[in-house]
Order: sequence, then C-alpha cells, then structure tokens
Amino acid sequence: MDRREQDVLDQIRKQTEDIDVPESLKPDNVSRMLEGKKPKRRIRPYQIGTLAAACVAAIIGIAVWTDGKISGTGDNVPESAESGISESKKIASADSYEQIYQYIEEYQKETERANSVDGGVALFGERSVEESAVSDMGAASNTSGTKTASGAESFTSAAQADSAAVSGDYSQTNVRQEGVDEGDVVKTDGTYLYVLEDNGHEIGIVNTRNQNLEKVAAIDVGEDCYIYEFYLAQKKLVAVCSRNGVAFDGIDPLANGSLNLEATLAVTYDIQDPQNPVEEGRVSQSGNYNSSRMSDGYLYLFSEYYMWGDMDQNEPRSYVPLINGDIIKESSIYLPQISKAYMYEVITSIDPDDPDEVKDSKAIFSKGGQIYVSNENIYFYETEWGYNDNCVTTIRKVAYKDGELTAKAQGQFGGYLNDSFSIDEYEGNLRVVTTEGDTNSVYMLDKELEIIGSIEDLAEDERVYSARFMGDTGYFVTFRETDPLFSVDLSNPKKPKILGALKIPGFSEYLHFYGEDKLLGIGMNVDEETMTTDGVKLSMFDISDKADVKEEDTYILKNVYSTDVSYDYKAVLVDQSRNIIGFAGYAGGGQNYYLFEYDEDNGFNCNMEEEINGNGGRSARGVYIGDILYVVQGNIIEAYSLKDYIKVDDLIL
Amino acid sequence: MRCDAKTFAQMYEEVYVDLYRFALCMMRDQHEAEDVVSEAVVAAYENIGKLRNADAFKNWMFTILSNICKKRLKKAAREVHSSEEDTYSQIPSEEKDIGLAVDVRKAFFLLEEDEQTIIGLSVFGGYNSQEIGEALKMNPNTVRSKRSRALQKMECVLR
Repeated sequence: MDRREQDVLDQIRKQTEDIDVPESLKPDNVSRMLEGKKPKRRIRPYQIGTLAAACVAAIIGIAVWTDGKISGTGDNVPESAESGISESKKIASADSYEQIYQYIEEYQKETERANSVDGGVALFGERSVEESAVSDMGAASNTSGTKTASGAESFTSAAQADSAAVSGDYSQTNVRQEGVDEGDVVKTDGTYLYVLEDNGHEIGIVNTRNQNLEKVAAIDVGEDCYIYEFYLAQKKLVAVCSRNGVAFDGIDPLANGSLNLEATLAVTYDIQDPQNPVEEGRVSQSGNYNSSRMSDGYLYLFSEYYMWGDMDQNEPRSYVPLINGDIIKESSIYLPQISKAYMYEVITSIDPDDPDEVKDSKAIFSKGGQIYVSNENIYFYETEWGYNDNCVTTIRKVAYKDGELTAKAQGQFGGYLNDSFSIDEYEGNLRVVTTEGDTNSVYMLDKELEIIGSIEDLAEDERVYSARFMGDTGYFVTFRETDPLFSVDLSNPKKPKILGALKIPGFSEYLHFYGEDKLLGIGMNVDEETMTTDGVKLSMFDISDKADVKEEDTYILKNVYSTDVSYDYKAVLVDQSRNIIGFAGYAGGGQNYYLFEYDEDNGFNCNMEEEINGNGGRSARGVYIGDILYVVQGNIIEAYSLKDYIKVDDLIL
Repeated sequence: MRCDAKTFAQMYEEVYVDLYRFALCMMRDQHEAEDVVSEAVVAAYENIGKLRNADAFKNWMFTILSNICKKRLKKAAREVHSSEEDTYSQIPSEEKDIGLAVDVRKAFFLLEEDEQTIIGLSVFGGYNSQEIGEALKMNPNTVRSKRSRALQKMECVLR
C-alpha cells in the first residue's frame, strides 16, 4: 500500500474513533443476554484432526479456528517466498487421485502446524514436484510467434485493431489480446443489441433497426443460474453462468463443511432468428466462474474450484472436479509447483456447434491465480507472498489449438503483476513488468519460461499502475508523486533496456494504442501540492520517438473521481478509425457517459457528457451501431446520435 | 473451546468496539448495526465449540459479522431493486445523525459491497491484503487493486 492509501485508511480510522457503541452491545449486557443460551454441541468432533484444517484453508465452512490471525497470515507465511517452489521447467500431471489427495492433505497439515505452534514459521513442504507425465513439451512449441502473433502486434494492425474487427460498422468488446474474444454484458451484431439484464438470468434482445428501440425476445437460462457474460459467434449466443449447487453462499463460517457443488455452465443458443432464440445445449464444470475466452471458434472456460468440503480419501468425487458430471482424468490434472494446494483452475474447451460436449478439459491444481491468454497459449500465474511484500510469481503455460489443451512449461519470476496487461507474449517469448517489494522489474522469459533477460530495481518506492506492450517496445506507468511513463526496448530479449521516462503529474491506469505513434492513457490527475487526486485525466502520448515520449495533450475531468476503466478494460470504448473514446465516470451527482475525439492540432475534445440514468452493480457500457451510440447501464438503454450527440431514444428492459 | 457467557464476554470486550464500528460503516444505520452485531454474537456463542483457540476469536467474530452484513445488504439490495428506486436518491441525508461522520458514511456509500468489506476489515480488523484475500477467498492482488480503487474513491470525499 502506498502512503496516499495509508493516509485515507488513517483518516477513516480517525473519523470513526469516537463512535459510541449502543448500551445493548456493551460486554455486561451481552453477557447477560447470553446467559440464557447454551452453546451448541460440537456436531462432528472427529473432524477436528484433519478436516478442520481444510476448512481453515479455504476460510469457509470452518469447523475449528485455532490461529491467532485469519488463517494463513504472518505466522505461516514462508520465510522467503521462493522456498519450496519447484525448479522443474516441466508441468507434471498427477499419476493418481491419491496423489492429489496428498497435496490437499499436505496443505491441511501445514495449516495445522502453523496454527498449533504459536509463532512457528511453517515452511513449504520439502517435496518438490517431480518431472513426470508430461512428455509433449517442446514438441510443438516452436511455432509460436509465427502465425497469429504477426498481425496482432504490429503497429498498423493494432492501430486499426478496433475497426478491423468490425465487419459492419459497429463496436466490439474491448479485449486484452487482439484476436482472442472475450465475453461481456452488452454485445451487438450490428442490428440487435444483446443486454444482460439486472436479474442476472436473462439476456434481452433489442432490435435497433426500426424507428424505436424494441425488445423482441429474451434468453432465460433459469432462475437458479447467474449469467456473468456472454459471447456472440456465428449466429450463436453462448452464455457463461454459475449455478449454486447447495444452499450455501460461499463463505459462511457457520456452515458445516458442505460439499462445494457450485458449477460453471456454458449455455449455447441458436440466434439465427434473434426473435426466437433456441437453446441448443449446455455443459457444466465444477467451481465458480473465473473467466473465459473465445478463439478460432472454440470457447475456453475457466472456473475456480476450491476444496472446502468434506473429503473422503476413497471417493475422488469428493475432491476432484467434475466435467459434465464426470470426474476429470488424473492425467489431466497438472500438479502445482509447490507440494500443496487446495484449489483447481478448471479449464475446458467447447465447440459451440457441439454445445453439449466438452472437447478437452484440464485442471491446474494450485492455491489460486489468474490467467492471461495469448493467441496460442494460456498462462496461469499465481503469487507466493512472503514477508514485506517480497513475493514470487509462478507461472504455467498451457497451449491451446482447435480446442486441444497441452501443458508446455512452467517457470517463475520475482514480484507480482498489476494486471494482465503487465504480461505479454511476443514471438514465443514472454515479457512481464512486475512490482517487487519497493521496486519494479522487467523480465523476459523464453518459451520454456526461463528468464533470459531482465531490468531490476526500477522506480524505487513506486508500483506499476498500468502497462502495454507493442512489438519490440513496452510502456508502463509507475506512480508515487509524479507519473513516469517508461518506455522499454525489448528488441534484444536478453538485454531489455529503458529508453525513456517521462514524468508527468497523475497516473494512467489504462493504456491503449491510438493510431500510429500515439498512446492513450486514462487515469487520475494528482494535485502536486496536496497529493490528492482531483479528477479523471486523459493523456495522449506521442510515442513516435520511443526514447523521447511526449505528453501531447491532456484533458482533466474535474471532480470526476473515478472511472470503471481503471479496473475493467471492457468498460472503455476506443475506436481510432471513428475517432471515438468513450467511458463512464463517477461525478458528485451520479454517473455520466463521456465521449471524446482527438485531433493532433486541437487535442482532446469532449463531445458528450450525459447523465446515465440506469443503475445496478455492473459497470456501464457504450456500444455503437452506425451513427448511434447506445449507453447501457443495468436495464436502461439510452441512444445518442453520433452526429450531434443528441439523445434520440431510450428503452427500459 | 469450552466457554460460558462470562468467558465469552471477556473475549468480546477486547473486540466489540471495532466490531460495532465495522458494522456501522457497513450498514450505515445504528439499528441495523446493533442488530447485526448481536446476531453475530449469538451465532458465535452458539457455535463457540468450533473455536479451538481463544486467540482466533477476533478473526472468527469478524468473519461471522462480515458474512451477516453481506447477507443483510444483499437482501436489502434485492428489496430496493424491486422497487426500482434511484440509487442516488438514497445517499443518506445529513439530518439523521447515526453517530457516524457524514464524510465516512458518504465515502462508504461510494463503494461496492466487497470494497466496503475490504476497507472495513483493513480499518477495523487491521488486516493486510493477504489476510483479507484468504478470508474472502480472493486473490491478494485483487484485494489490493480493489482496496486501492476503493481508497481512491473515498479520498475524494474524505479530503
């Protein structure tokens, strides 16, 4: 946490110091109130030995609490984050379910050890992961960078990225990786708008062709399901959703270890006739929805399956994820780089033309991590935290092609990643920008995930706020008092070097290449005297000379204190070919939608600032079809002309 | 652990002020806050057998309390939602004194529910991102970025 954040926390603390507690809650009165009640008998005392630790591990459904802190804190953090991480470069698969069981048990035991010995420092288990099972690595890994990467990374194509994806004239979801589609809550096919409704289980289909917006149909996955996002592909709509398997809301310490039955579903609809969507099939996998991608016609679905239920050693179904109701093969489970784990990242691939079947499935056994998907590979990374923010990120690479998933390699590097823009595959290599304790680093890894080049100790006392890579160059923003935008030359992977650092007030939290030689930053402005943020800031950087990046123009939205773009890149609408930059910002009275254009001579021009009338928990989206911009928030769609920015229509779903 | 009402009250004495402050920031209503704390107390007492070590009492109470707050807020959100009220009309008016600084109340109002929990646990529980991550079953990185975003929002109001 930086000093500014600490200041805010201190202020809240100070301002809440004198809160008076009502009489009824004073200890004496509570004691009196409780006298009439009896503690319940322990329901399953036999669990205490082994099961309890599992529950503590997941911090849900706890049976026994023994630690002085929330489980897994200081006391059982490893001495150094590196200890116990396997040096093996190969991803190992499980030989048997029994082996999986041991990993979970190891986690439980370690948690117990840490909890029972006061202040005892538990180390990771000594066992490191054996190289085994996976023999296919290297065999097919020499192709990366030659095919899909070529178009995706060059200046010209990325400059037209948004427009290239547009076959008609309508906007697409802003994605992390060009060529890899992502789900969203609002999408359009150029005629119809598809909008996830507030109730979470319906997607409204709205015809935009006629004079007025008209809702023509709705897709309903059923009330027991919650849709996170959906895809449009080839006259099909695929909704990804979760379903609660048990009457158990996730983190209730009072629930006795019930089996985690939450499942993630992909439900496919035929929308040939958008007025009459027809369900074609659905698949399910264990765990909570994490993320998904669509590439080359296949949906890749990621869920996180935590082990917090009752485990029966003789019944693998009690601790191994299920795919469409069937237990996943042991050889499809990739073992972690340390000798214990309690969570699976379940990955399946689905062909929407065969929507009842899972084409391939794998489970990455871990303690919880995040994913980045390049045009050929899925990278799963997780951070091992040590003392004082000293940490190491381990990473596993799984290739995907035509729905087939293949383990490739594993590795590690120091520090943690800000978000998925801080990690990028290019010509088979991987480059990352990390924050390591008080400093920042750039690492280059080869296709075996071996570090081949690095720059360390950058920008002391700052942390990475945003990053973006293009071709041989990386750009990233760190922040403490002013915002240096660093440019890094990565053309020689073994010798990355800093080209330039531009210091400007404020910080960008999202970077987007905008035409040739331009980089758009969206973030916050910071008053240099008071060191507080005073509004959302747009910056346009001239990157024609990478060694001398200039801030060409800025625009500060005074008193707009935040925008969803800072944490959700899908919330931004950027289309350089149409010269549109759109996003929602939170101002004092509510939420507004802002639309900008940029021109080299006149800089930013704010064309539209309109109040958003919808509400709800999801962030707003702006999509356009032809010359109409649709601002969607919750169940309300508002339409504006892109010619004069006048509101032309609205619709409540 | 074995525990009678008196022992429970002794452990409770160490933490109740922070519990109430946490609840007040989460619920932004004195009566609701009072309610959730007593619900948590009763639930904790009835299940005290599951607590093995008195040292863990604070975490245990915070986890139970934050779950109860979460349930209540969820329920409240559903009710508000069905009545289609404008969210911003509900920014608490200043005339009603709930014993919580107006700025803090407003600042919490700006946050998403999980952000509130994260900030609440940071301030009143004193937990770090790793601890909160494990408690809320969230990646510590996610906790950090949510916390940072939440603090940014709050900063504008608290300034």
